[in-house]
Amino acid sequence: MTRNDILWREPDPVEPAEIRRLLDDALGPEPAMRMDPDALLQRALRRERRIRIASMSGAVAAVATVTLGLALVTSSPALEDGPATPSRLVPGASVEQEPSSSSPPSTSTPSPSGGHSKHQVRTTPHVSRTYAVSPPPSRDERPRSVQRVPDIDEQPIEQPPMAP
Amino acid sequence: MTDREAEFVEFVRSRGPVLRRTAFLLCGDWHRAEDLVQTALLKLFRAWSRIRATEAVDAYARTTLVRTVMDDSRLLRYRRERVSDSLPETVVPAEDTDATLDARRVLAMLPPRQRAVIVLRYWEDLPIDEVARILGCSDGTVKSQAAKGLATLRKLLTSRPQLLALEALR
Repeated sequence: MTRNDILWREPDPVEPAEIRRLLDDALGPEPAMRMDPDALLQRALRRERRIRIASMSGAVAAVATVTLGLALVTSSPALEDGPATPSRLVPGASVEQEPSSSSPPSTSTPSPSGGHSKHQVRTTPHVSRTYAVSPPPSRDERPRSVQRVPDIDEQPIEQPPMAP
Repeated sequence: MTDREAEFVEFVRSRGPVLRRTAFLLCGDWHRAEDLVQTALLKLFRAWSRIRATEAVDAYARTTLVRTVMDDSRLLRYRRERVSDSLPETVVPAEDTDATLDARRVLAMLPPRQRAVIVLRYWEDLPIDEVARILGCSDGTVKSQAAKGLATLRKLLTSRPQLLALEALR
């Protein structure tokens, strides 16, 4: 039976001195201290220098990031003057297209009904050829003729006759 | 060497052993206690000029040490085992008595916070409000933790066979 057994067997509250004695027992014989105050000071100085450099680097990086961000924002093409080209627009944004003023009215022979008749066939913009089909001819005018209405900047190309 | 550095070295020389004893009671390992004291002193050096003006270096060092030990005890479960090719140094002499071993074992069984309360309250003789300030909790928490810690100590010390069995399980 050790001294601690005697101390803690009693149900009464323990005295602080007894607990202190228990802690003193727990300490036991103390080994020699290996800590060198001078070496610790050098370590502390190195650590402080490292922290200072890290904080300065962080501040410089933050300033550089803000400057770069501001430069990017101010030189953004969206803020420049002038009409927005389709390449600058956000995908999905609606664009109001004006009718093309560069192409003059067609000089070809108008159809009898005036303007574009319901027989007029327009191909895709890439092809950009307009064909005006004349109204149904009389029986003695066969074969049917197809008149082509060329664009202004397009050389006339001979087209095969369209199927009836 | 500046004044600040000279004062720091002097403080380490004079208060280092005392802090190491406290750290040992909190963690139960002399090597670890010394490492923790060094970590706490490195933190202390950064704030040296500020705390020197308020003449609260001792209290600041104690608070830093206790919080460092508590933080380390939280992290310890992740690095409890380490692979090494060398045998550990024997720092504690072989003449440990039964009382020493028993006291260390029962202290090791206390949860870190209860252990810190017991050490600060009864080893460092700090008042309850100071212990509460160091641990960052209320006075009532300190009282309840102290009562629980004492009850655990009493229970463990009155049942030594079970204590040894518990120690074997750890």
